[in-house]
Amino acid sequence: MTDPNFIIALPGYDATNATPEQSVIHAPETEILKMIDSGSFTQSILGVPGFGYYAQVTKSHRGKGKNLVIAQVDGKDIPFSYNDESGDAVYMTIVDKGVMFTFSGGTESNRTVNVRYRVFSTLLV
Amino acid sequence: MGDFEVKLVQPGYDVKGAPDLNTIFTNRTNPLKTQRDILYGTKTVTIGPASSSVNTEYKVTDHNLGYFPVFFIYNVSYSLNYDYVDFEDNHHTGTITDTDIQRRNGPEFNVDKKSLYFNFNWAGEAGDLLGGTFTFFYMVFRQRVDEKVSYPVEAGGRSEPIFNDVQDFRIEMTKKGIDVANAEADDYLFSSAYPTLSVTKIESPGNWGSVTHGLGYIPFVLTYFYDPGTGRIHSASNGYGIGDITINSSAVSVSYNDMFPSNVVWFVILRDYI
Repeated sequence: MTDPNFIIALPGYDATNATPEQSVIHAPETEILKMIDSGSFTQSILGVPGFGYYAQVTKSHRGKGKNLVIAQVDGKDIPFSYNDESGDAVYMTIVDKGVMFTFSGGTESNRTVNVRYRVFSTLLV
Repeated sequence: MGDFEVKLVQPGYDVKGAPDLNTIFTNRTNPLKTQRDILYGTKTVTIGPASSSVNTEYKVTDHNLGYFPVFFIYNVSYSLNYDYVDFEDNHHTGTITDTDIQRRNGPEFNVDKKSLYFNFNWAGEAGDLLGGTFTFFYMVFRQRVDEKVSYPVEAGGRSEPIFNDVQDFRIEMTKKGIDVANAEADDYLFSSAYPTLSVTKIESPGNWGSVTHGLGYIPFVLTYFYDPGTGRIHSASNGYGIGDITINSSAVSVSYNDMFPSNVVWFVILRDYI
């Protein structure tokens, strides 16, 4: 049996010979990411004199294990460190059926950040 | 030709004007596409001793696409063996391990037109490191980083994606050998049940500057840079290899960075928002 082909080409390209780069869908050669969950929250990074700031927030999701997650803080790709004197940074750790965000900052830190994450069906391990 | 459109949206939405995140695909956008076992998977990279490991390059995988592709990379685990004598003549040996799975987006991850690389920089004294391993999850997409493209902005603007595995009507195709009746999310090549990531624009501001996107909301943006010194595209993070990144509802900007004045920034702007 011949493998099925299902190709939708981008405007200007012929589906009979379009490459994956020239296609919206190019199956079965390629697949697209399947987004299965998402979430968002805000977090304050408020430094304490002598201690700075450190916090972890874990969010569970609908994935089956350690799923691919991308996330952004204030629109910027996580992991992200603010290139200013505060030392503020946000990291993301993939955990089983969830994702953990780590926030850190200096003693003078004082900002509230918006985090949004997208979870995909792809398992990393 | 421009009047013709193929469009698949999530249940409950009208194809005419469905918001971006509820549009599974349309021939007016370009989803990020990858290939299991060829363009994504896990790979363990063996690191040599420090004498040959300071700023040493290791290949994560060959992609063989013939262009600089968009990629993601995650650290799955690492194990590094050390052996050193401190200033008080105390001898230390051991292994540093870490099993935290974390997204990585630093310049140490980079691509040429054939392979994906990891540049390892041992911060200790030369000779301290006996070697070890890094295990990465990598995902390479059939999408060039360094080619200007732009797709028309759909009507409808932003919305929350919906997630519902049980839907009365779906259009979907499973991976080879998997019965569509028993498939789960990761078994599909595509499915109308699940939103995806699509490119809305790829453009370079040059070494620094702004790129407008016209989405009306703050989008997800993947940032890379071309380093003329290495001849490669590197994954960028704020201030590392490029200047500070600013994203608003109309444009993406990067400031001048006098430490890396020659690096050319590329923004991959996705049709998704924060």
